[in-house]
Amino acid sequence: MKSIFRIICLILLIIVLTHSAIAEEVYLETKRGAIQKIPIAVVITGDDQELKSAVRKVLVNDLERSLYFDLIANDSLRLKGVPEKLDEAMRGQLISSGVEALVVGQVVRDGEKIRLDGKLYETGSGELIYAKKYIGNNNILRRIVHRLSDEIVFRMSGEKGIAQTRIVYVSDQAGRKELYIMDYDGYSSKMITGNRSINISPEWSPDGSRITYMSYRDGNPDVYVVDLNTSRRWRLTDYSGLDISPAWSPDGNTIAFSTGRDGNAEIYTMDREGKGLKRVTYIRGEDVSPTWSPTGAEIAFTSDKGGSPQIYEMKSDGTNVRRLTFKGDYNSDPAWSPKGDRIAFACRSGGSFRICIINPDGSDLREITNGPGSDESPSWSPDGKWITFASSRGGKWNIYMINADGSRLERLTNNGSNNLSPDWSPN
Amino acid sequence: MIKRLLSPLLIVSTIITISGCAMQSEFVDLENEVNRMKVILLQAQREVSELQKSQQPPQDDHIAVEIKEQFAKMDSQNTGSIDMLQKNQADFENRFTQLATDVQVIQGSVEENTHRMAELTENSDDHDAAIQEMSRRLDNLEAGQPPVHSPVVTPSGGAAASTPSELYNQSYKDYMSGNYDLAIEGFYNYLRQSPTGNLAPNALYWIGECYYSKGDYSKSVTVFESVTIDYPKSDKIVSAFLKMGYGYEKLKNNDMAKLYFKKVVEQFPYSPEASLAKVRLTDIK
Repeated sequence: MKSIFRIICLILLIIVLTHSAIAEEVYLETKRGAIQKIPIAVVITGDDQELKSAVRKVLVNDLERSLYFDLIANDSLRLKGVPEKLDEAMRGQLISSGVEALVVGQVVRDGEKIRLDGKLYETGSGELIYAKKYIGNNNILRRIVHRLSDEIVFRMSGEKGIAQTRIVYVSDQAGRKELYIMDYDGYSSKMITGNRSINISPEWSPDGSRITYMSYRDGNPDVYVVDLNTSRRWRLTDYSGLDISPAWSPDGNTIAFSTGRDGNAEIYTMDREGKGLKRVTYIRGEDVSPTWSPTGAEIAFTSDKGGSPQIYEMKSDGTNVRRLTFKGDYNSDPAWSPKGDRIAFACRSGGSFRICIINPDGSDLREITNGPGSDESPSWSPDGKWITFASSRGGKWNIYMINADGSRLERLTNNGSNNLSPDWSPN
Repeated sequence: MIKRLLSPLLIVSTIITISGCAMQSEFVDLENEVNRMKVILLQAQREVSELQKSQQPPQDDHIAVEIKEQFAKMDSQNTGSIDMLQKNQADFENRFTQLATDVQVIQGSVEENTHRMAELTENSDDHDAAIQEMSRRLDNLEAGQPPVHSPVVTPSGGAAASTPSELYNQSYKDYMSGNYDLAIEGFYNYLRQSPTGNLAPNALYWIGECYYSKGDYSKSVTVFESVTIDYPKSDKIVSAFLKMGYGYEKLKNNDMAKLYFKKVVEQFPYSPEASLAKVRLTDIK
């Protein structure tokens, strides 16, 4: 019998015996829809040229990735210090070049410390609309700039920014499959497991304080949790077979996962301490990879109940199972968008996988990546604008991010190892 | 045109559903048969071991040899039949696995056909609505009134939707986003516009789900009951019965809850909902 379970075992084996194939790297660039962006200029002042350029680079990238701004070049703008209000001459100059908002950052190195004085002005009135001084050690410079960026995004759009978000992923850079966390732009990566075993399918808790994952740490594939604040880690399941693909409910109180304890893989739920085990699916076929809708009322998952792996939806109590995907003979790894309006998944197309997006009512199916290589394990940014995924397009497996409309592909990992299974943190 | 298209589809789908049911019953028969063979095998094994245990220490060499010969004979006979039973069991298990795969493939075809039919019927709803609108405008013209264009629906829930399927989809989106009040209004608007529409049972079912998600279990039970009364042939009926059970359980009316869980188990024994209902029946005091 065709079995997703066997395929998963095979994938695990492939993960263990990771391969490398050379493939040409292709970046996508398509035109975005006509969303009105705010023309913004960024000026970084200070005496330390290297520091200035580092701050500028991080901030400009962050603001661009927020997709709220058009960065306007402002080479001719000269500023002394950080004024409380923009003078008429400066305002005139900015308005004539179409700038609606100006960010000024004064950065100073003070021994081991960095001081960043960030200000945001509205050019129409010349008023200062946000000001904050940041102080921190040199090694958290990027983090400080990300904070400033998120503040600017929030002041200008009312939405929470994603510059301080992080991505957990699996990498074999230390030999075995261990979990790592990096900033959303691919920097500041650090290992969070170190058990020299296989650790896969990590997922953030909705409050960002914990990560659940599947590990062979104690010899058997079970679901584990690590608390990022205390570094404490513990096992949630202890069934002697396979317990895989854990997923947190939006309220953080329940974890859905797939288990082989009934012969074939079925979806169960348990509380965050591994108690209160409840069987959710009673389906002839393998049911894996649950993902919750943001309301917690629905779960989407992969099942081969119809002969080939497809995406299904059901109420999170297991009732009213409906098939969502009808195109293609292999669709898996669903990820519900944070606003609930889209579901991303891996769709097989001509032998390799692509990232597809569909509405929860089955309409508007789109393939947003086009190879080469295979694209798998999609996960949404908390603002719902980006998707991170693992791709073999560069030969090795690496983590990428792409705009949900298929534009702005960016590679995030570049460590010469295989990097898989990314999951984007909440903001 | 669409109706003409629908009837062959309906026939094909019915055949597949019926053959699916046939396969399912054959599948169950096979499962029973395999279990029966397992029992026979176990019995045979138990008999052999009992015979061996009951073997007394020989008092006389001649008798002992005779007994041994007899046992050896019986043993070889039993071994032969056990071998045969094991082979039969393996054959049955192979066929069982094959049938399970066949059932899944048929299940897939049923899902795909149902989906195609749903797409077609959704279009036909929109066409019906468009025809109604055109004839209304024609009537107006014949009566000498100026042609006033009005949208097919004037929704407050599901704003800016203009065809029944758009209204339905917008309401479904509202449900998914947790905008339950908007979704309820939108689905009721759909039902007002297309009371006999093909998505009407689903719309009513989702209204029940919205009330349930809002924690208004009393209303959800009433709406789910309407689904079972008004649309007894809908594929949502099993879930509706089960959700009535859940609703009554939330309302602390365990007797009614049990009644509906039993209904699901008895009327739809092979559904996933029946398995969920069985769990509730075991847990409810």
